[in-house]
Amino acid sequence: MGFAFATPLWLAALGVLLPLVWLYLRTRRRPPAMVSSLVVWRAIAEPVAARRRPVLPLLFFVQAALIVASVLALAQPFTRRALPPGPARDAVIVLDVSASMQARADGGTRFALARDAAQERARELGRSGLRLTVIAAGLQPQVVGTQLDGEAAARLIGTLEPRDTGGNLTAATEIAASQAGASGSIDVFTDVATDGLVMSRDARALSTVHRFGTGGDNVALAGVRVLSNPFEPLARTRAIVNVRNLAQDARTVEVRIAPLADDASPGAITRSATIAPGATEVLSVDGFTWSGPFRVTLSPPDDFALDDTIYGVVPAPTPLRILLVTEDDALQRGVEGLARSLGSVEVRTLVPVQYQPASDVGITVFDRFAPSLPPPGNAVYLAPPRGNADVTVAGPAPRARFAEQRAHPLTRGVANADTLLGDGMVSLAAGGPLKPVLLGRADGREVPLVLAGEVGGRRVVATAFPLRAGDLRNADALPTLVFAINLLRWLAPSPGEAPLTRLAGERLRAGFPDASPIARIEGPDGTRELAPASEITLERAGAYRAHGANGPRDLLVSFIDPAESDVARPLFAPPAPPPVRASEPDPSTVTTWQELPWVRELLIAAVAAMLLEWLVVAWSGPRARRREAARGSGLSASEVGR
Amino acid sequence: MAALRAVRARTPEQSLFEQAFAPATLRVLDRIRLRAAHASGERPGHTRVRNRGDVGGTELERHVPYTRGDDLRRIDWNVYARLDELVTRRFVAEREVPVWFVVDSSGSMGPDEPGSKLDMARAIAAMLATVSLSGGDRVYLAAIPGRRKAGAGASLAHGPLRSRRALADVRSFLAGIHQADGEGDLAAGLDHLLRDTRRGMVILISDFLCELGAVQRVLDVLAARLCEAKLVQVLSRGDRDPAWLYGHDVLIDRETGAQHRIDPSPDTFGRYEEALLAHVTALGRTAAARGMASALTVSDVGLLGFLREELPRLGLGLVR
Repeated sequence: MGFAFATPLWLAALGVLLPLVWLYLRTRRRPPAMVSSLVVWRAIAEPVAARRRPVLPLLFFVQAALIVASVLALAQPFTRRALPPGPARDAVIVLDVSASMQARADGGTRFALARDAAQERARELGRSGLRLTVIAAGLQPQVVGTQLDGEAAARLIGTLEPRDTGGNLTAATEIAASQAGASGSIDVFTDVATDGLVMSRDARALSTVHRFGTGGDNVALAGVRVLSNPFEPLARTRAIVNVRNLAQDARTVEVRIAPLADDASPGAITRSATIAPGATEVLSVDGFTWSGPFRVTLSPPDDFALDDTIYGVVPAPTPLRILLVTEDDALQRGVEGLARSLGSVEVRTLVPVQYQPASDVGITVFDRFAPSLPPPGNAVYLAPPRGNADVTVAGPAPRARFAEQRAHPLTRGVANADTLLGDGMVSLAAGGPLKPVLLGRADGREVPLVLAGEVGGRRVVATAFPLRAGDLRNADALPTLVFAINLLRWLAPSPGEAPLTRLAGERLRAGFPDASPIARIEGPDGTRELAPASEITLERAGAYRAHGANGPRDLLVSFIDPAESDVARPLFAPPAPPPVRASEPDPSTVTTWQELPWVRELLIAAVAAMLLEWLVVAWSGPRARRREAARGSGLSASEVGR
Repeated sequence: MAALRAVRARTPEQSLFEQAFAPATLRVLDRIRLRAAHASGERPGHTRVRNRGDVGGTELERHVPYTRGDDLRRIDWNVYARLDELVTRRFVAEREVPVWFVVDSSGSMGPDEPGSKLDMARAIAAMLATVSLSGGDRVYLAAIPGRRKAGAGASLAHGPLRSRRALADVRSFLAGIHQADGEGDLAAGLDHLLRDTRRGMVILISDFLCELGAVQRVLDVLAARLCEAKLVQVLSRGDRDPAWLYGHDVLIDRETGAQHRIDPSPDTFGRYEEALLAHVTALGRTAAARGMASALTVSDVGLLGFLREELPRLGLGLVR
C-alpha cells in the first residue's frame, strides 16, 4: 500500500495555512492588561510558565481542515494497492495450414515438417513455464487453443491438417501479437520466407519465423472452362484447360478429361503439351461424347499434387421450346429462321387471340401483346401495349435515345445498342423485381429500355422497343442478333439440379433461388449437415455430393490458386535478426499497482468542513462574543446584546 | 425616596464627583449626621461626643464603675453614699471635631475618568465633607500623594473649612485631585498631615490594594495621633471580577508598572477572587482590632448604593 499525489505541486498551496495561523494568533494575542495592583495577583499561585501555548478557537481548526482538504483534493492523492500477479506472458505458435504446405519436402510434406517442429517448440516453451496459444493460419486464422501447457499445445498441433485454401499469415500474426502482449513471443511455422511475410512492426518484433521448403517443381492446372451451347449437340462442346508450368524447366504434361462417375471411361479425352518454364498453355479439348461432371487430371505427378486435379461440367443439350405470340408474320419468319440456325430450338407461333398458357413452353415471347395473366414459364414482352403482373407500362413513349448500358447477361457483347431502338416504343415503368438493363433518355429524363429480373421464380424480360424482323435475318444487324441470342440463352430454363462448381476457399450458401436448399454435403471433409440459411467455407477441394429435398447433386470444388501453386519459392537472404528488445521481467514476478483515488472523499470532507464552519460561525460566534462581554461588565448576556 | 430616585436617575456620563454636589444628593446628605466614637475637639460644636469622662458636658450619659486614673471630680458621691460604690459620671458633649478626609490618589486609583475609583473616592469625600460641614465640624481635605508627579510620601492638604459655605472650597479642592503617576505612601503622607492633630477623625478613602503591612503602618500613625479612623475601601468592578482579563496573560501594575504573567483561566480568576476576599477581610479585621470602622464599596454601585449600604458601617446614618 503506497500513497502518492497525481499533481503534488498543489501541495504548495498548503502555505495558505501560515497566514491563517498568523491571523488567528494576531487576533488572539492581546496587549498586557493594566490592573490596579498586583498585590492580590501575586498572592495567588505561582505564575504560569513563561510561554503559554496560544489558544486557538474551534473555528481555526475547522477552516484549517477546509483548506487542507481542498488542497489535498487538488493534489489528487491516491493510494496504490498491489494487484495479484497477472497471467504469465503468452507464447504463441502460428502454424501455416495453407495449401502450399502440402508440397512435398524431404520425403514428406512441408506441413508435416512444420507440425513436428511446432510440437517440439511447444514442448520446449512449455518446459520454461510459459502458457501457449496455438493459431492455425488458414484463409481465416483460427485460435485453436489458449493457455495451454507445452504438452497440450503439442497434442493440439498434432491434430491440425493443411487445408486446400490460401493462408492469411498477416492476420494470423496480428492476432498472435495481440495475444502475446508486449512481452510474449511468436513462433511462425510456414513455407514463406520472413521477407515475404507482411506483418506489423510489433508482430515482427515478437516473431521468429521457421521456414520449411524452399523449392519444388510444379505444373498446375490453372483453370477449365466449358464452352457449350445448350442448343447445339455435344460434339460441338469444347473445354478450355489452362496449364501453367511453375517448374524451373520445360515440362511435358498430359491432361486427361474423364467423366467423374467413370474415370476409366473410354470416352475420356487426353491431351499432351510441352510447356516452357513459367508459361501457361491453353488446351482446347473437344469431341465430347458424354455430358455431366468431369475431372481433369494432370500427369506426371509433381511436388504439389493438389493442383493436379480440377473439375468441370459439360452441360447436357436440352431442346428449347419457344411460344411466339405475335401478329407480325415477318417477325415469325425471322424468329423461326433464327431458331433453325441455332439448332435444337422449336418455335410455335400464335396470334394473340389464340394464346393459351402452356406449361411445356420454355420461353414465351409476347410481341406487342401482354396477356392479363402472366405465363407459367419465362417470358419476354416486346413493347407491350399494357401491363400485367409481370410488367408495368405507362403508355406510348416519345422517341427515346440510348443512354446507358448496364452489365447483364442480356447486354453481353451488345454494341451500339441504340440500333435496337425504333418506332412503336412504349414507356416501361421501372420498379419491383425488374431492374433496368438498358436505359434511354427522353424528354430530359431517364427511361428504361430493357427491364429484366425474376418474378416468382420466373425470369422476365420487357423491352420498350419491338424487335425488327428484318434485323433477325440481316447479318449486319449484329446488335439485334446478339441481343436476341442473349435473350434466349438467359431465358432458357436452367437444368434444375445441375452440378455446382466452386473453388476451394469459396463460401457456399445452403439455399438457392432456383433449387432446393442443401441439407447435407458428403465429401473429402466427411459429412456436414447444413441449416437452410447457413453458409460454409469450402476448405477442401474434391467432388462432393450435396443432398437436398430434390435428391443429391454434385458439388465440384477445384483448387485453383496460382499463389499457392507457386511452391518453388526462392530462398531469400538470411533473415535479419529480430529487433533486440530490452529484457523485460517476467510479469508473474512484477508487482502491478492499482491506483485508488481519494479526490471524492476529500471533496466531501471539504464540503463538510465548510458546512461546519458556517455552523460554528452562526452558532457560537455572536453568542460567544455577547457572553464574554457580559462576563466583563457584570450584566446578563441578553443585556449586552441589546 | 423621591430624592433617592433623583440620584439614581443621573446619567452615567456624569461623574460621581459631580453627582455628589447635585441638589438631590445634598438633600439626602442633609439627613445624615456624623457620629464620633471618641474623636473630639476642644471647641464647642455640634458633634455629640459620647462616653467622654474628661470633657465637661451638660448632658449626663451614664455611670461607669470607677477605675484608677479617673478624674476624681467625676465621682458621683451621692451614689457612693447610697450604694457604697464608686462610680463616675459620663457626659455627652457637643464638640467641633476635626475631620480629615484623605483621598488616596495614587496610580492604583486610576484611571482618572468618570466612574473610576478615584472619581468614587472624591465623591465620597465630598459627600462626607458636606455632612461634616453641616454638622459644624472642622474639615480638612487632603490627598496622598496629591499631585500627578509628586513623590510617594507627598500629600496635598486644604483646611480647615467650617460651615456649608465652604462647600465651594471643598468642590474646588477635590476637583483638583488627579491620579498620580506613581505609587503613594499613605503612612508617610498621614504622618505629615496629622502632625498637629490629636483626637481627630480621619476618613481615609483608598483601594487599600497594598500589603497589609502598609495598612498596619497607616493604622499605627492614626493610633499614635489618637485619631478615630474610618477606612473606606473603594474597588472597581474590574478589581472585583477579573473575567475581563480573559485572553490577557500579562498584567501590568498601574501604580508601579511591574508586570506579572498569569494563566487567564477560570481557575486563576477563581483563586484571585478568593485572595481578594481574604485581603478585604484581613483589612477589616485589622481595622476592627484597632477599634476602627471600615467599609467596602465598588465604584460602579453609585452614590446611592454607597449611602444605603456602606454608610452605616462607618458609623454614619440617615437621620430619620
